[in-house]
Amino acid sequence: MKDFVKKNWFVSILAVIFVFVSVYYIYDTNKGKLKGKTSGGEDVVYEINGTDVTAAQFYDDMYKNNGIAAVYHAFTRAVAAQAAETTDEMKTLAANQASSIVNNYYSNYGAGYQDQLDSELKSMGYEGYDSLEDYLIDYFKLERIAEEYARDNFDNLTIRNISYLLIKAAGTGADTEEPVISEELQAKLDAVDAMLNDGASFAETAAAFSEDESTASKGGVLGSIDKNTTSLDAAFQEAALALKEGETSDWVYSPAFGYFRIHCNASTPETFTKVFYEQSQVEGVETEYDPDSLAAYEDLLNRYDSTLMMKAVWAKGQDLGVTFTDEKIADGLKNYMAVAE
Amino acid sequence: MKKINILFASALILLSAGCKDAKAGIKDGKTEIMKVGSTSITKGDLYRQMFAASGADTALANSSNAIAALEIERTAEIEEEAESSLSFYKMYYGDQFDSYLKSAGISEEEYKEQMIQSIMGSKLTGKYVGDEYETVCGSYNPIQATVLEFPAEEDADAALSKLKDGTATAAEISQEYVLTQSGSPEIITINTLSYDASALSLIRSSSKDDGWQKIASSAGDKWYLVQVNETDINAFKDEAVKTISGYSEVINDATSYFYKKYNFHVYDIDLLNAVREKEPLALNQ
Repeated sequence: MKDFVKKNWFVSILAVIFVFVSVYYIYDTNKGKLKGKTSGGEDVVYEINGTDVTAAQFYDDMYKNNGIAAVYHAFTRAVAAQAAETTDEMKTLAANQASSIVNNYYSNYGAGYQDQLDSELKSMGYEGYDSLEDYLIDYFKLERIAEEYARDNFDNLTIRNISYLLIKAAGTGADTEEPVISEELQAKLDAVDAMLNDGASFAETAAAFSEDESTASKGGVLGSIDKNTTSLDAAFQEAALALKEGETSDWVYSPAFGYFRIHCNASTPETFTKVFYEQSQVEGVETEYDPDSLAAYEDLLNRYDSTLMMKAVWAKGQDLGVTFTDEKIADGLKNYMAVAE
Repeated sequence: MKKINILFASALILLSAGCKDAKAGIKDGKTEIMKVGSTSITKGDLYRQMFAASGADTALANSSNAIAALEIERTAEIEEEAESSLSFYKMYYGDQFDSYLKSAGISEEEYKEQMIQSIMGSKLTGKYVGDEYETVCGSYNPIQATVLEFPAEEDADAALSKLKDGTATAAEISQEYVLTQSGSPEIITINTLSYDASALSLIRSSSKDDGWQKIASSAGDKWYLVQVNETDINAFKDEAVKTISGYSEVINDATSYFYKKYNFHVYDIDLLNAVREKEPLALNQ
């Protein structure tokens, strides 16, 4: 070694300088870096008061803090990816909606809009801000899955398209018994009966007499409901779901509202699609009639059955085949999606 | 030559070693927890997703709970408050509450324990103010005083007469003239903005011996009757702690104080960045 250094003194000096520069470079590069820690062979995420919280413990802590929502997002993404195709229509709609969403976020969050969107998308298992359109496309796929599920389970869900008219009864609210019907109230009820018995359509009668301003001008049209719709008065819903298309109920008393007469516009899949199309035409929507359209089910999904999406996605997942290695996660997910038996 | 090559290779390895910020990960990240069709979802996938959704919040909340367990006494009163809240949620949400517990995989007892920890955590700022009372009072100069605000000077004059001759209390005056103030003593600090500067200035320059005094607002559109009840900060400690604990800068100071006291330290760069974004005062690294 001595002889070598003597013979190659210049190279040796260079080597020594190189080693010192390397060591300094490593020190300088690392001094600003975050140092890790392990405990019992596990990575430590953070410590407080001398107690290490390992990544395994942190996983359990995060799971307790609504981790089941993360499981749900992973489940739905997996179903969307395998159970429905991406159509050109979905891509176009996603691009348009993404633009609109970005504008909304900018209005609400200002310069931080991108970070906010990024964070929310990552929390649902997406890569971040750049995957907004992917998220939207997955959502459209899940909507389609839910709409097809509703169509295929029409009778089981007891789907109906309903119209109604309301005669308000004084003293309604917390009362559980029917109030004494005044002469004035009876006269209103009799007038409705007379018009219907004379052969007038339900729509004309509702427009003439209904005291519910939100639907009277539309001929009393409420729209699509099913057995899982929770936003309706219980007496109303029970009566509505018992009707077949073309039928009109007798007077139904609701302590909260008064007296209803309810008309069923559709109780079969074929009529359901047709009636929805006709109602949308009245509201100014310009489309051609398509008997295979799922628009009526989209209405049900978005307005009157908040459980439909989860039930449909779960069912589709079962079709694809679902296995869990942890029963706690399986039970948690079923409860979260309200599909637990 | 061979030795030189070994030397250079070692140097290159050293150069590339330890150049990254630390990231913590679970050992069994590849363990499958669920399979949907052909898609396998692993613990690692779930860890990353939960981290993005609530990593910083979880670390901060759990650390706050750990600090509270050491600083705040767990009293029967706190347990009763948690029990009361639990009963309310069960009554209000009914079956949905049970479903939530099942989804989260926690029992009712565990949920109640979380509530207790949360209540204890909410008392940390008060503890800080209490522990550092003299220092905090040096910053906020609390005084206990009673203030009554009148839109009309003649009412203020009439009320002042009654207060001075003892024929009415401040609470009675408040009711008689339908005033916004209740007539009870309150804590006035340098942060108090609810009264005109003239009234606040008079309070700060007065003593208990000055009794009831009248002063007009700076704009001359309101009249104040003020009385300093107490200037000894130890005489109204509980009330002052409650008032000062509500100030945002004090909450920040308390946060910084406790996280530093209990050496909160993060060993994962993603968590560090997330905590820096959410609660930078918690960091001392």
